[in-house]
Amino acid sequence: MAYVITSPCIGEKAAECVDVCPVDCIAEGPDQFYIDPDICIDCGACEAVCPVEAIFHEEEVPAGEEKYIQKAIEFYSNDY
Amino acid sequence: MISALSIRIACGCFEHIIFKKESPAMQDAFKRLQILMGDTLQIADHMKVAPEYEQMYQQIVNGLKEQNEKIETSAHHIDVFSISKHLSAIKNMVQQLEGNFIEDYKKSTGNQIGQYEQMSLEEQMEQTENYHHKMDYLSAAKMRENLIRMNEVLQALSGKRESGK
Repeated sequence: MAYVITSPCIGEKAAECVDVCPVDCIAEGPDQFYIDPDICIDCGACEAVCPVEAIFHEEEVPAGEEKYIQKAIEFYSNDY
Repeated sequence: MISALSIRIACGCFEHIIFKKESPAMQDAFKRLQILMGDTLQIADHMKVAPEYEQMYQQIVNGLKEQNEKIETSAHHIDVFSISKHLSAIKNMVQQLEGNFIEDYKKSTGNQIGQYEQMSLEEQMEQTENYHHKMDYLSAAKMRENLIRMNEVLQALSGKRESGK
């Protein structure tokens, strides 16, 4: 289980999540930031600091935003 | 069909399953395995364990590095059984650490983990000892999850071999 960054990050990319992550598992992509699901330890620190409320636990991703779970997996499997 | 060799070594009841590294399915599986090993090592790198856990922590890190190196340096064949056996041993050590960490976390919060985690992030971080124990515990839990996944990757390889897919 991991946290997932969803659509409000696109165009915003505030990056507060990157600074607060204790395991450095957030990387910048061309359009948004991505959380590496194999490294995320589920601490929730990123969710707490996101100014646009783009970050959700995988099991609580809002309807219509589920595609961002797969998008993160693909981002990391392509070794960005 | 995945090409694999099964060699029975006359050293007891263990069957060493040797896989050819060249087939695309094998390459994908071993690549996934190495990604998981690298990710698990990254989590470990961010841990600051107490001196009493240092020895076990080092054994875990060194064990993972050794298995990773085995995959990287094997030019043609990989002994899946041996890697799986080592990963299981590493998982057991991680599980032991995880148990120690949750006990430390409980103690430092006065058995009030739920109450502590209801606090805002800032408040949690202000209680540095508790926050440190929380991060150690969550890190060990994730490492254990990843080690289970690594063995699942290896089991899937064995399954493919047995079914001839």
